[in-house]
Amino acid sequence: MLIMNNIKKVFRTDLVETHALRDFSLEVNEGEFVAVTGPSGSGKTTFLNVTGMLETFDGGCYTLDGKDVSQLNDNQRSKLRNEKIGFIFQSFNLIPDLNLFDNVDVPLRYRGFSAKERKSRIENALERVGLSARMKHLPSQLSGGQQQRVAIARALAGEPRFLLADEPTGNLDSLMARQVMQLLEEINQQGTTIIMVTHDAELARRAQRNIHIVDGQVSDYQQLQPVLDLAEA
Amino acid sequence: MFEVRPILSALSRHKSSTLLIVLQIAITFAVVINSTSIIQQRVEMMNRQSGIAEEQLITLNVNAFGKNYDFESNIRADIQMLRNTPGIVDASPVNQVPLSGSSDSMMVAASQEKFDNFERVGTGVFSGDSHMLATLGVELVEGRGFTEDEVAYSADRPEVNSVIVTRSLAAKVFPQGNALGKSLFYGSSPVTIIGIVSKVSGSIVHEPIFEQNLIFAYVRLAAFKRILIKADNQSTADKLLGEVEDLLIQRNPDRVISGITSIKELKANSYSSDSAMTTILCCVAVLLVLITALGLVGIVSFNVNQRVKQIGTRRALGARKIDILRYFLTENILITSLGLTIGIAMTMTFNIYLVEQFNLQPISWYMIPVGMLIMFAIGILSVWMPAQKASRISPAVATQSL
Amino acid sequence: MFAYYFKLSWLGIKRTPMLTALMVIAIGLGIGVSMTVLTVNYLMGKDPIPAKSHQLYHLQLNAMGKGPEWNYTADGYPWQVTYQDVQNVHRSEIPTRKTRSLATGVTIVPDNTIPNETGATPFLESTRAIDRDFFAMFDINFIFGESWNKQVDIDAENVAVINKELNEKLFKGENSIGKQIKLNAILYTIVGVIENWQPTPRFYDLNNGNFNSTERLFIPFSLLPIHELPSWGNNQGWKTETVNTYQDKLRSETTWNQYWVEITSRDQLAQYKEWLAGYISQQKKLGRFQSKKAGATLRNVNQWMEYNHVVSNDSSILVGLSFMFLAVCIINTIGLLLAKFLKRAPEVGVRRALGASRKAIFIQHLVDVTLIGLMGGLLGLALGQLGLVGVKNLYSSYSQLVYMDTSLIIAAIAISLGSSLLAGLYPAWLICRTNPSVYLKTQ
Repeated sequence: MLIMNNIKKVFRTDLVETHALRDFSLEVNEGEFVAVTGPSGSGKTTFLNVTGMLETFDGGCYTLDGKDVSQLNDNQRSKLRNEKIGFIFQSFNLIPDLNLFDNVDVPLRYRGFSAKERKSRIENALERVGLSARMKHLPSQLSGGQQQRVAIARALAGEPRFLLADEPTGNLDSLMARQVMQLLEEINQQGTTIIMVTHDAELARRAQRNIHIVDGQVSDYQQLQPVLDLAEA
Repeated sequence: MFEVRPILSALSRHKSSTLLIVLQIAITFAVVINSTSIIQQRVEMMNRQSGIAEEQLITLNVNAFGKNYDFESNIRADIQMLRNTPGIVDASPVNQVPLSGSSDSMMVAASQEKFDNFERVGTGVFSGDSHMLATLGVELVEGRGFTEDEVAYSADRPEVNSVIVTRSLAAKVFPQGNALGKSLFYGSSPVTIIGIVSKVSGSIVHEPIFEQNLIFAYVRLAAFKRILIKADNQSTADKLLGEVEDLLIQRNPDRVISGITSIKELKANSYSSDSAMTTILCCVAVLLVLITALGLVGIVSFNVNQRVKQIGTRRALGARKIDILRYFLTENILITSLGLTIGIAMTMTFNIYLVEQFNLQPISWYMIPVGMLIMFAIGILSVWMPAQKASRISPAVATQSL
Repeated sequence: MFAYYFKLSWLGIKRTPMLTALMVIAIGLGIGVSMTVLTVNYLMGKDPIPAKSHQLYHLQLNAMGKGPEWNYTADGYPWQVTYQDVQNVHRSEIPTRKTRSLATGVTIVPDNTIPNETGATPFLESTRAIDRDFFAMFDINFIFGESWNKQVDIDAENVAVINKELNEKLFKGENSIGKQIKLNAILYTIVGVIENWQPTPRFYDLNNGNFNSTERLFIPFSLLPIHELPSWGNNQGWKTETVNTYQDKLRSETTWNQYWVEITSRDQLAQYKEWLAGYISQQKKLGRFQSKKAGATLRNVNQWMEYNHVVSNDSSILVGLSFMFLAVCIINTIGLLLAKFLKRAPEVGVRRALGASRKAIFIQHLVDVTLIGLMGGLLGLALGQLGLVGVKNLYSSYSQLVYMDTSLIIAAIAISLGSSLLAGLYPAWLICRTNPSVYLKTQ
């Protein structure tokens, strides 16, 4: 259960003050697949970063699984992120020096699992994305789609309750994009809540719920839908 | 120079790494300049003319222990034998040896009144026989040397009438000049200056009175005698080091010969701490410059790698190779200038401390500009390679995604 | 977790070998240079007799007349004392132990009349003339026999103490007590054989080379006027007086003897100072000690070493320079670390997203720095040893001096770890504070 109430996020530089999120409120229930859309600069990524506790916020209330995030220090936030949240990114963000096994190992290390536990989790996760045969390969030896599947395996290895995906198919061709999307749907069906930022309307439609962010706020999706369809047509 | 403004703004965005390089250059400059200054002073001191035939000279001690050992006849016979030995030009008994590190000194004055008023001048005291000047190989510039009749052979210090002084001592005691024929006062009866030699090194190289010396015609009769020998050249001198002991022992076995060394070696020993200091400082300075240069290479290479895309974009927008090269060189010159500005202040501060604390000479003014030029050169050399690499970045990278 | 950080660090080193090498070389050179210089400096000034250095006092007297002051020393006191003063102050029974001392020398002559054949050719031997207490004062151990008895210090006898090395040479290491040797033309009886004793610096006589070898032969100081033992050290006078014969010299104002006392309590020290003051006022009546600065000074071992500038100016300058050198190396390393860590920022962003706390990132990078510091330290130790070999070749007189003991090696490692941690603190802090989200969106 994820509840955001009137979240504010302001970026300040010497010259400008940008309100990335203004009175942003949202609830995401257990097991949902939520797609987040919106024009570029609307605050989609900021929303995702705040949700993943990579960024702090300037006002409002954010509760993740009953925990008030604003009350947590960096250590506790990191721990919470490590246990509850998996991340996948548009550019995969695999660590280039580490082979697949070690990449998937990263979050498990911070979790403090035993070596045995980590090994079985890594193998399971890679199995699940169909790459267990390539455990010793480096990311640079894989195709984009494969890399993103490793990233998904890495995000899932710790069995998080939430999976946050930032344009997960943005760097992939359509065939690979479809495969990755299928994988995400499978994962969602097995019970993981997914919040996916995308600008691809077709992908967004495959989610159970769509949230449209405009100017740092959730806009009424139903009203805007025709406009969006028009734009795509 | 153009492009200074964008470079400055780029530098100000990387304040900490710029500051680090600036600081590094500043300290390096301060250390290198001060080290070089010390090195220069030491080398100057070590290269002083000794005024004697140092390469041909060897010395030794005769320590007599026999019960009925006659000091006078033995020293005369030893010297006579040495002078007759092939390869030896001359020999003389001496009380002390130039550059040896152990000295005999006293205070003299231009008049009894000055002596009593403590207006005295320190001087090294040499004594030997009439061949002393010839053995040392010093140049007599005024007056005459000693005759054999003038030489006193005595166990106790005798009353002598005449003295030969170095030009340095003469100038110190008689600043008006014309020292020849004047008298020196040192407590007992005065002595007349009969000759002036151009230069004789004293025994202790770090003493201020190093070149103020006088010579008496006096051979002290004692169990312990020092002898100075002049060989006809350096290789004979080296050969004699191994042979002279046997010669003396064969003539009379009732003594021990010790301290057989060449003046060259004594000189090297006397200056060993200075030459060591020079070597160490050289190493420190060279290594420091090397580290700073390598650091610059490392940082600039890193910056080039970080800015590949940016550089490619510049190239795509029409920058020529030379512009890219110039960008990095200008950046380096700016950083070096800032470093040197701080560096000069640090150099001065450090030098003032050294001068006050350790009585060193202040640095010569010209070392600062020369040092700056060298630091600029080193800076440019260090960034040259990475900057070249940067200038070869293809404009095509601008359109490639990384 | 540390093992994991070490693994990551190792991977990082493999990824940036040049940068790492530059840092290791910088730290290594910094440590190498400063350890070389520090070792020499430390060993020069180190307390040569820690157990007793605060109990042993060297006496200086300023017996000068009116007129110019002694300008060789800062306080106007000659380093050594006259024979007449040494004889007079030796009468005081206040010090626990006391010894007069003079560097002299003899010719050791082989002699068929001595039952034990002592070497084939005569040789010169530097010798120290001292009192019986010398050995006990300076903690010198006897292998055979003991020091001569107290009476010998008053009524001179031809006795000698030799060290182990000379005993090897003369008597093949046997117990030589009671045997005789011929010094110059006189027979001496061996009463004791001591262990080889080489304090560094040679604090008991700082007039004749601070790092020279000690004497191997010791004879009673009371023999001075009898055998007219020559001074092999410095003789300095201030007074215009006729010194032709040895007996003249004994009566003169020439300073050429040394005097040490052992004093074990504050009261004793005060008492002794009072006694010296009394001695000086008595001498003043006799026309001596007329200078404004006339008086007596006692300096303990460490004060005496400092007074004599045992740690040379050059060495102090070098220590200063070497620390500036180390500072440059550290600054250099900070710059390179900033570059290295900055390059790694995207990876740090990913790690943060995957649940690494700032603390974890900070520690990871400190481990990284520690590894580099350790390698730099090892390189520095090797370079330091090399540097010491170099110093040994440069300064012949320091050969006793230059070695690295355990504490110096530990110091070297500690300094290298300390300086690399110092260098790493800011970059590690910077990298753990960066906002991870910046590096996640695009690469």
